[in-house]
Amino acid sequence: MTPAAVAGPDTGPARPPDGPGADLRHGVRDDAAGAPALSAAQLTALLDVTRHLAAPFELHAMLQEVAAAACGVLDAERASVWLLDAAAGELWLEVSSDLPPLRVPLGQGLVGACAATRAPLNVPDCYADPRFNPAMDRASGFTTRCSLSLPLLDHADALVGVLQVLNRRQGPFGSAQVALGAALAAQCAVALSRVRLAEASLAARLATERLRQELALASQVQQATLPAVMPELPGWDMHGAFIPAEQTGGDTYDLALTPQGQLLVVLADATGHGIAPALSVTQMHAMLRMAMRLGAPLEQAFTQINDQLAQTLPDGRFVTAAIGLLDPATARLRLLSGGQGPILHWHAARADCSVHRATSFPMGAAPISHLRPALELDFAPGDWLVLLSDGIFEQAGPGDELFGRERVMALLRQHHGGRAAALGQALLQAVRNFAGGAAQDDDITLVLLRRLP
Amino acid sequence: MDMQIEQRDGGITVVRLKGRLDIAGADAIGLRFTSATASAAQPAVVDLAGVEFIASMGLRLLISSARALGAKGRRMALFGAQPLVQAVFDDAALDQLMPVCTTEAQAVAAVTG
Repeated sequence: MTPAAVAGPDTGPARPPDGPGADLRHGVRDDAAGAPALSAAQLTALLDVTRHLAAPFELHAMLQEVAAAACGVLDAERASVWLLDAAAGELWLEVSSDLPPLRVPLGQGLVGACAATRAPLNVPDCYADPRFNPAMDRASGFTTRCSLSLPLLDHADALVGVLQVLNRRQGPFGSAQVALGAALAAQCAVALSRVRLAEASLAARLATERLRQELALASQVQQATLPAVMPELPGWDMHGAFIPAEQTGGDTYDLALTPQGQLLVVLADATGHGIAPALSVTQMHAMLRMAMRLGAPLEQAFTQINDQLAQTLPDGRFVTAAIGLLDPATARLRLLSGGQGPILHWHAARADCSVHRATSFPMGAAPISHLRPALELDFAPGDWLVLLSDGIFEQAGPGDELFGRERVMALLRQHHGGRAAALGQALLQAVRNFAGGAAQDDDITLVLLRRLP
Repeated sequence: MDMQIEQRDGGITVVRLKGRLDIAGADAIGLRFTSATASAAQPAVVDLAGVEFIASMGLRLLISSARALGAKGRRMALFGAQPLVQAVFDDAALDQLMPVCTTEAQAVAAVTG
């Protein structure tokens, strides 16, 4: 029968009330088990140590500070700080920077027993205790005589680890040392907690910063898919703009001359905004560009892209898209629209607008079995094509009113005589003013094409 | 966003919606709506008389449910849309994907006929 380990005060370690500056003497005198009060010298030493513990901001330095403090205050040869890995149910100890840390399951060994009971464990003769593992002594050449293991409990009473102090120079640890050790352990636990919290928060901040950089990059990639400059097409003026609600957006547009000399006109809007729809809409855009390069007819390109999206877009998502080809020679625009509407054709001669609905359902919603014919819009001199994403029509303003079609018409009536870029600016400004101070909640995209008078 | 489910004679589900079918609204009823329609695997009609507003996420919910129901060989029809909502349906040519009717009777006929 092995001698029972001499435990410290069974009621647990004497705990100073709160934080730095607390009067340590109160906690010790209130100890119901009657442990001796700390001497003034011991208290001074403890306060001194506490000051030192405030300094390190990095875990490794903190652990060294704690171990040194324990040796100093308890006049011991060696001390180590085992940290709790709650997820693994283990305590770990870093022995050197190039070796993996030692690991001990909770409940095993002296430190494991201390952690399990959350009480100081005072062992005057370690080799006589069956829980003691001599392997570490053999490996290090150190001979453990006595040990005092102290639970490190932070301000929330959570176990942070175990402080183990070995070989008090004057002999086995007594109850006075246990009391002093417990007070020290409390200070150490708080200091350790602080450092780990700072490190976790730093890691989180780094992760957030990395994510921010990724998003900024994604935004650049998306912007690069949009026309850098408007194509030069004699007799025509055009303007496109894309303002995402976040860093990436679910809208896209295009104005580009095809190898066949036609003008490709596109406005597309994927469900939602942010990253996922940005990927969908970029994919659709890429497919379309490829189809145009290959000289595919409009109807074929539209059907193939629709059916491809129907296969690949997840879960009922779709992309509304108006895709048109303008023949500059005839001034006729042939347009297929999958769910993208309304399509506005301003007639200069009549000073009013035709409003067209989409020719097909939103792209990707289902395969196309029967494609309805394309819209054919003939542009007279001074006429406009106005394609706007729903972020404009549905911008909410005061009292839950929406920007709506009428306001768009009013702006067209006002600016139809000017440059496309000017109309674009006016539209964006009007939407911003209408929104008041409210943040933009949906992507905003516009495509404006005018046959010059 | 409120949702009520009724059963009609002949094994038809009637879903009555009330509120705004925006991102929040679609989120609020998404799972229940899908389970009432697509999972139930019987013809469904959706009463939109109480829906004041619909945005793309709301459309997506309708489209994905109709599609899932269609995969089980059943149809879904919408009816009673307010003018603003009907305009969105028109602009999106939604009637090419599912019947958009005026009355409940028409919707029922559309999914059972």
